[in-house]
Amino acid sequence: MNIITPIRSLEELEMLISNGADELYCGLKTREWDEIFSESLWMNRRSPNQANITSLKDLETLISAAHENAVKVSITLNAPFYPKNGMAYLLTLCGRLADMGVDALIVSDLNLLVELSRLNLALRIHLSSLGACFNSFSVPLYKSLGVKRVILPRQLTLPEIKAIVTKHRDDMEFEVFAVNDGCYFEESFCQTSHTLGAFCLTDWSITPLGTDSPGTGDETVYPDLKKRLAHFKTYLWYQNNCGSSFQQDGLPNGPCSLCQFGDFRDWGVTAVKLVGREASFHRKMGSLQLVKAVRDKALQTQNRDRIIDYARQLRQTPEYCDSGYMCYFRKH
Amino acid sequence: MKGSNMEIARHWVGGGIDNESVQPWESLKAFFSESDFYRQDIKDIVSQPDRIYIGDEFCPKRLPDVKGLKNQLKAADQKGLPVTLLTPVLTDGGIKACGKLFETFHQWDHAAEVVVNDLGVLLYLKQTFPGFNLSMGRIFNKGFKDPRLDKKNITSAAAATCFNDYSFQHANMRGLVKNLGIQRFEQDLFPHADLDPDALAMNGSGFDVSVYFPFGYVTTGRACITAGMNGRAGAKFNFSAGCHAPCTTHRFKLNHPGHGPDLLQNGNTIFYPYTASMLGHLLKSAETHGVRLVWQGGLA
Repeated sequence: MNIITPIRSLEELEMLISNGADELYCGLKTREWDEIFSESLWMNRRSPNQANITSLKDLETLISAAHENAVKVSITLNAPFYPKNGMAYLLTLCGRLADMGVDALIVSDLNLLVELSRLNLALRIHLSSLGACFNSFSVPLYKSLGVKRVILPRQLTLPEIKAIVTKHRDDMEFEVFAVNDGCYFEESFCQTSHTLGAFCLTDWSITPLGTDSPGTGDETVYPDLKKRLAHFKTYLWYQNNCGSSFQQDGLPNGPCSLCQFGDFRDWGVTAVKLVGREASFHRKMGSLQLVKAVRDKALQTQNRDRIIDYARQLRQTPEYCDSGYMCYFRKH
Repeated sequence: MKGSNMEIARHWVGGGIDNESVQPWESLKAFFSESDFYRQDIKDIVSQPDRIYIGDEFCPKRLPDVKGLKNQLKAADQKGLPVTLLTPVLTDGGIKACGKLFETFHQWDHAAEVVVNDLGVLLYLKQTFPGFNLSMGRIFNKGFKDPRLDKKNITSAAAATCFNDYSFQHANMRGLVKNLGIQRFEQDLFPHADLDPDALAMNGSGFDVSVYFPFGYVTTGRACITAGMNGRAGAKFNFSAGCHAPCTTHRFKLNHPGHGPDLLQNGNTIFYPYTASMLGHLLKSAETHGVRLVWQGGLA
């Protein structure tokens, strides 16, 4: 089970490789894209300046160093939709990335997938979690479009992941989320833009529309609406990396699937993913150390309970783990 | 007044039988000016539907059970109206659980219309019930919908052009789904797009088009704030847990100064209301360009 880790600058490269990253993924900010859209449109789901490699020269250096260490490099082109007037540049860029030795593109837009399947570039296509593979029935279609790996969405349960992976593990690779950055809405179906800030974290004023009696006030719909909404805020806090906090030992808090690595190993999951390209150097390092420790434990022992105990021990926050909101993937 | 070329469908939201006979027009006032509705005769138009939509695009828990489906089909039959079944994203377990529902719908009409919002569901239905007429649901139609966006802040002409662009406009998407047997695209009116009836109707594409109104969807997911208002702490927002569908009675308005229009939260999904000019444009397009309109006033 590989560990795939985000990177946003060359400064992180040595740290990530020395701490055990098997694969790296990054986004790009390019002058040509910005010239077309005047920075009004992001090329991928994360902020151009805070989460992306900003020079193709740096990318070449990154690829070279990564390959010297047998580490593969993927590029995220994971916007849910690319407009027509950006498509020609994107395809040119993809060709250039293939020539530079990029190992894979992470893609979700069906239009782009179709285009790439025609180009047959010398790199692999990985379906982003935004591609919304929620069942095993869709896998053959993605395969027919040249997809070699499916990154499964966060909003699946463990049995649902098992159903997909075990049915197709012989003809498709699968990657699952390991730590960081929950998502309240399913990002595959969210048509908001991160350029305006996270929609789900906006402090909306929520008022009831009433039940049978239109215009009914809070008191008859939900007498304790504020209390009920407070639970929602708590849930969002967990999704948002427990308020972007850290444990006392410096390891990061946030949603994860560490306890489930034994299952992932047994089902044939190819890679576990650290989320957060824009995260700080320290969050990335801590996240990687955490994931590597549990992944290595999962490779050493067949006993799943020991893996779970080890993960919880590393987490040092049993109250968070027991909250019911820390796991990406619930048991049922 | 409903035009002779206009095709109107009504979604029986929430699994009932013509629940819009008790249509909460009052709740719609939270989002629309009453004069807009009456001026455009919407109330009159939607009272004469040509088709019924049942099921749900956003939540499997809002699909009818077999008994409920039969009741809905019987009611539609009594009105002499054809029925379209909306389906949401489904997991393997969800597809299996819907087997009898699909079978019952298939028995009712081997060539009935089904809207799919998931590629796996599409492939499953194509293989299992090849007679169904499949439509591509609006969840597939990605574009720029964020209601918080103020177009005045977009100065790049290229970026502004993107507001008129969405997945179903692309030749690749059309070619892909045509090969999968899709005949119709279901979509929303995009909030920042120019009002172009030819583009909306996809003239010359060979596809039929449906447009939902008076709301478009912004975002959705399996975690549900409405269901999450119930249940014990820690067990909330568990999308595979049972649900007693509080969304059928509890809807919410979302507001934030400077973040665009008031929004509707219905169950796990957030919707934006169409403006008066969007509604006017839509009604005109339905009459002149043969776009089917799907009324979802019952969402509010």
